[in-house]
Amino acid sequence: MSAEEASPHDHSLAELAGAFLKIGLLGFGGVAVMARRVLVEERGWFDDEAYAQMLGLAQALPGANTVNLAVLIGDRAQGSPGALAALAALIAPPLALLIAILLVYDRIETLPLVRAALAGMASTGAGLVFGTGLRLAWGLRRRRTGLLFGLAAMVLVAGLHAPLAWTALFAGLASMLYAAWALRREARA
Amino acid sequence: MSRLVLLALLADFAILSLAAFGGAATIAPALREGVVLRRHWMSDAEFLQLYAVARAAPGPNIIIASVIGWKVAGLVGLLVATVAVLTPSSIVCLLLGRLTVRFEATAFVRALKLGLAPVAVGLILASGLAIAQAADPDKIAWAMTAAGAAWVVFARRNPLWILAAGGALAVAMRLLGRA
Repeated sequence: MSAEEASPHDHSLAELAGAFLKIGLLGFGGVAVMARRVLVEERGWFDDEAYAQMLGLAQALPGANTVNLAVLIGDRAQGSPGALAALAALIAPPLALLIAILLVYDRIETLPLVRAALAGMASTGAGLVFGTGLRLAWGLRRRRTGLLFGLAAMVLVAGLHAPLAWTALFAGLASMLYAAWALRREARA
Repeated sequence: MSRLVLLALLADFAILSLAAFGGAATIAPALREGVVLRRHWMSDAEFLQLYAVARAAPGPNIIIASVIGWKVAGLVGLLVATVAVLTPSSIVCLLLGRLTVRFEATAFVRALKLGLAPVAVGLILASGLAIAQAADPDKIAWAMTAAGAAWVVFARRNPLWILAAGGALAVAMRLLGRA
């Protein structure tokens, strides 16, 4: 085991702030895409499987997913100060930018080209979010049967318009029960 | 009067914080109901515009709460709303997150993490589909969505490139349609 593997989550305050600053400021059309991009592909802090597990935890706890990721990853690295640094870096710069946009929004929103650009970015961005889900699903391929619970949750929410929170609760519980059963079976085998 | 407004912001958003499983989309209906119908802080059109801009702009969509605070009570409102919507959920997340680290090796936490991961992935896929359903009026738009998905799956390049290309393509089509 290399030294790096011995403490893989020991990022400094500056590293935490830098990563989440980038996720926040470049997270157009859904921070989920940039969060995976930065944490998995660029910084290599997680592989897709470990990242999906972290995301599962962030999803199951109250609060926005990426906000919770900042808290979980920041706390694991540097305790409460780490959580606070990651959270502040994630929230404050986009907030300042958003207010600046709102100050000029009435003047630019009606411009047809601005509308066209935003619509094009929204369509493409939807694909980025879906593709991020596909990459994470691939990361979980070792447990294919478990992925069926994710598929069910997707169909319930996107196809049948079931409420997200209830779907997360029931699909999550069912999936956990299955995982517990599968782990016991593996331990016996 | 303004102190009452700040108290109302604090109470409303702190409660919503604990209900915001997933993110802003989950609490958007409740937020709208509270801000527009119950508190009369803004019109429905104003709320929808704020929500749309917060979604299109970079950053977590939950900052819609901060912007509502700013509209209602200026800079102090912004700070109060931000703290209110982030603190309760983050404290719960911090404490429960520590428990999962401490009891990492137990069967319960292992099942928790293994079980929750695929559901989180399924919900990300669902949110991509939901955005596409709302944002894609025609086949060209769906093709752009497919291109975005393919980019993440097959290319290891920064997603901002394809996002910029999608925006540029839409602008070009608009210009050509006009010409």
